[in-house]
Amino acid sequence: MPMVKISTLFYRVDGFDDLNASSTNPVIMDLCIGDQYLDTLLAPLCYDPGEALVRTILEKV
Amino acid sequence: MKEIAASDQHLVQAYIKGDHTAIEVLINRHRSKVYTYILLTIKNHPLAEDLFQETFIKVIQSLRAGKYKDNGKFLSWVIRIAHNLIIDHFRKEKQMNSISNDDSEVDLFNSKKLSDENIEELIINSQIKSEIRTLINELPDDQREVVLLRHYGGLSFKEIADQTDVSINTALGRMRYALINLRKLIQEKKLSLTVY
Repeated sequence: MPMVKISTLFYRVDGFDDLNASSTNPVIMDLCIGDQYLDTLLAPLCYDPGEALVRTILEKV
Repeated sequence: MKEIAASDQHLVQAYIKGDHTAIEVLINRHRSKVYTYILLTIKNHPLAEDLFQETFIKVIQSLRAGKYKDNGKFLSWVIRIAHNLIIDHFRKEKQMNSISNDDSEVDLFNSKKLSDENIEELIINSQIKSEIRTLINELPDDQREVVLLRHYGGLSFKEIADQTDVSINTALGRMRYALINLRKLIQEKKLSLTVY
């Protein structure tokens, strides 16, 4: 299946119409699509421990 | 002139040869991915901070001891160390189910001076983060593990299979089911995960 550029995750999710497909669906098996999907979905999920914690580590070693 | 960032490989070699600033650059470069991976697995901020420290202390000790085999995948190596430390932790504590699910999103609001617009944006982003975290937490443990190792650590499915002691097909299958489940959950919950 060719990759389609879409602007939002919500539209992206709607754009994939294979929710009822079996687990052997080749579209879902496509690792590139899987990675791209995760990249989009998880992009906001980023937590920064901060520079102070890094300095603490460097002081310990 | 624009400075070209040194590669992980270059920084590792520089550190091994005695450039102590190189490790700081490396840690700062990857700190968010490593910390997020640990936090999403362990679900506890103070514990995640402890394991984050342990991870990089072990990284530094391993580099000094010449135990790192450079294959150009420094981050994957760090994530594998973090993964092993998390497993060790769970084994020691034997109370996986009693780990608290505290969300320290509130820390975000103390981190810097914010205008009203920034606060509104922060609240929306925080809400999105919280919703995505909920989605990830609803995945079965084995599926979540594969998703986090793949996304934050950039591990290949062969590496994930080795790390989690399953076959490559099983690792691929877990990812497949994770993607199906994530998308079902998004639709069931009617989530909109973007800011308009």
